[in-house]
Amino acid sequence: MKFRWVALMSIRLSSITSLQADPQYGVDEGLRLYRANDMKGAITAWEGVLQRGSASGPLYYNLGNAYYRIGNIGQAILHYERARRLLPRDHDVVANLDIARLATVDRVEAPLRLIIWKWVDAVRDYFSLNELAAILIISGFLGLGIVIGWFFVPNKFRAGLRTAGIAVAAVYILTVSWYGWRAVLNGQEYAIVLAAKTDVCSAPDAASTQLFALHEGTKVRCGESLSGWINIQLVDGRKGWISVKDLAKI
Amino acid sequence: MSRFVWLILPILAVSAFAQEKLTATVDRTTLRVGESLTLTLTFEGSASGVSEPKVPPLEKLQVAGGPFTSTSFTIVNGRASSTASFSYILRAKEAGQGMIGPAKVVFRNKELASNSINVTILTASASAPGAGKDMKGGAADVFIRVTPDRTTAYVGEQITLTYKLYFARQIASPEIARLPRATGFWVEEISAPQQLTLTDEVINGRPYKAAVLRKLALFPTGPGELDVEPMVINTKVETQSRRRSLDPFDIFNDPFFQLGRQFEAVELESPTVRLNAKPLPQTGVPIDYDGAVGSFEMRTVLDRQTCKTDEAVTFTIEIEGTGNIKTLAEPRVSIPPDIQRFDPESSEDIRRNQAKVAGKKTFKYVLIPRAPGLQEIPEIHYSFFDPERGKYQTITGGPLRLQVEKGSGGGMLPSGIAVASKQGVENIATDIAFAKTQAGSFTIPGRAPHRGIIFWMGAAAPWAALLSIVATARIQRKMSGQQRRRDLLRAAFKETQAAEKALKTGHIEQAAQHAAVALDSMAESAVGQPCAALTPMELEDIWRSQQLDTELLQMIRDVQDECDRARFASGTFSRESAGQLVRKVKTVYAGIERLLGKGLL
Repeated sequence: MKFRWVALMSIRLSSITSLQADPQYGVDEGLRLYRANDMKGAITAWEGVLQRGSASGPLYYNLGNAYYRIGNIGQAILHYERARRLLPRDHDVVANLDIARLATVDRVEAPLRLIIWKWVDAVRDYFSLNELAAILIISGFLGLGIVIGWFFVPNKFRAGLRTAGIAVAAVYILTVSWYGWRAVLNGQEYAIVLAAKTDVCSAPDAASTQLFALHEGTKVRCGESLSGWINIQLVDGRKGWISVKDLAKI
Repeated sequence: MSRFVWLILPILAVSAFAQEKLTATVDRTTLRVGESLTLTLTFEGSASGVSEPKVPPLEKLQVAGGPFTSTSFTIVNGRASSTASFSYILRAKEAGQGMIGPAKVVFRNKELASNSINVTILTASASAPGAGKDMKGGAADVFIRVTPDRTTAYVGEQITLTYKLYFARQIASPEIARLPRATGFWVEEISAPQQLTLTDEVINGRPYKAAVLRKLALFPTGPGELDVEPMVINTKVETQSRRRSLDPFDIFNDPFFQLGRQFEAVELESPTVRLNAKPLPQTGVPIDYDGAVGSFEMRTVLDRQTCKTDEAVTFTIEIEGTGNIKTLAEPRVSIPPDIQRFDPESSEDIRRNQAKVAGKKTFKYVLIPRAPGLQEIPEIHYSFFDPERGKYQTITGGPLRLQVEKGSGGGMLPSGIAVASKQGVENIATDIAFAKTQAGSFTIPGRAPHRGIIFWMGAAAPWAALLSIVATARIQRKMSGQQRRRDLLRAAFKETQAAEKALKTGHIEQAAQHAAVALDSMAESAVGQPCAALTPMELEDIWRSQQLDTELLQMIRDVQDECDRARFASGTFSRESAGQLVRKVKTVYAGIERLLGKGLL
């Protein structure tokens, strides 16, 4: 009898913990708080989901919204950028990111580029890494199916099957290279300045010459890091060292 | 020559009878701070054509009045002389050795300078006659006192300064020479009486007459310590009679008679007032706060409740109360997008006659509804800082409803529906898009797919499957080839047996036939493909390419030839030679079997 109780209790406990571990639960809880205008509560709930090891594009996007509402522009931009990696074709993410960027102080002029490179970027960013991975795996299996089918279909279907096989092979090769391209680019780390103001120095040392100052919400490209300092580069090409605690990587 | 003489003569005449001279005199050379003396500059010579002198450089003195000009013309002993005199009233500013520098006049393009005069200025004493600005002592006969109702106020809060003139002696015609200058304030005059009202007041046991000169309302425009510079008035003060009248008949010298009174011009200066403006509190500031300080009420009025489209409606917002009405900002009004709104006209009605500046500011909007329906102007909030309570207040007005009916403007469609006037959909505000309600598929934060095992498994699986299929097929093919060769060999064995059987029954021809089939099968099993269609040369090539024993091939060929002979010329073929043939076939069979057994094929 006693054992049954213990067993029952343990089932209960496990169900509760599994409920909390379920990311969907945390997302819904955060959404409820968000709608009740409790932005801090929503942030706590959603950050909890991230800490338990689950992430999704909408989750990052919602976090960005909540941070924007409490006026934390740096965190808002950081999470919108993270959301954009997972939801590259989502208009809301891009629109909110643009609105959040209005509140940033720094204006860094990007060098002029040919319009074709913008198209290239648009094509490259059309799919997220996860989607490319899915396309890659699916086209792989499709190709396999075609190879197997080759031996079983009557001769009259073989011409069509060969065309399909060539198409799938082309998609496969394209996706593999596309994935590699994106993965390499994502491997170049970008970061968002979170501190209200941070000094960019000429060397990884607070006593070195201060080159310029950056403010919350500015996006920088990360280079090597050295004992609490990180080498960053702006889109206009300027470089310097910044204290690692003032940044968060996307 | 004579013509020139006439020209020169008058000049000579002038210079002959008049030596131009400028003399400075003072009525006294010793005085106290706050007292004044009269400086007279006398010009002797031809009074006409002399310029007004420049004020001489002064030390420890300042000009309080003048110049008063007079001219006279005298003929003494046949000599005519004219004088012009210019009088100034100078007031002693501070104690010490004062100096009146040389004054200068220009006469016929010639500059004349006067003598300079030294004066002794003593410190003002309580018993000193005349005017003073000593407020604390209260002993001065005439002074101005400034009373602020407070010395510390919030930015935008009213500070009232009262300028009061006190006098214990008769004064005449006080005039404001300079109004107080207040930099950093918004100044409103609350009262500027045309007629001075006198009251009796006792200060330090001394009776005074007092009159309010000015009341000013000051609104600090920024925080910090701010000075209000003094107000200056010019007046005439009755001087103490030099001698008491002892002669009873000397009634004309009695102060009772105006004629006998001596008046002295004085300049009075009010003290400088230092005021402290506190910044407004930073806590609890409403979002829509626009700088209003005071205490206000709001009224919102639409001039009618219903109207037709494209008709103008007046919307009035009145903000009434005490405070700096002039600086009140326009309230933030959000008019529905279906109503066209014009910029408001604002008017102020300020009441200054009270202690506090109060009044009303009116904002009039002309609204033109463009679409029919019930339009609602939402609540209007107006925030101000109430310095008395020390906190921010928000007042609200509205909401107001306006029933808009379809007007006659615009055309009609055949269906009887009015054509609406089109307008662009305007953005009222920009905001971020709402949160996403679908969480989507979850991944591990910040990890690219290729860092996970699932990706590699998924990507490698088709390749692995393909490889395994190819390998299996290859093995299959290899396996099936061996099997076929075995099957052929078995068939060859059976044919051989059938040949032996036919030989025993004496059917030589049949036996040769069986032997030939057996040989074909054996050859096929050796090379792995049917040999009947091959020429001997081709067979030999394949045989060699498979590195088979060529002796065996030769043997097969010999036996085949013998078989052919036995089949097609059976009459010449003996039974023994047929038996030998079958034995040879068996030998070939053994050779092939040995090859297959070794696994060479």
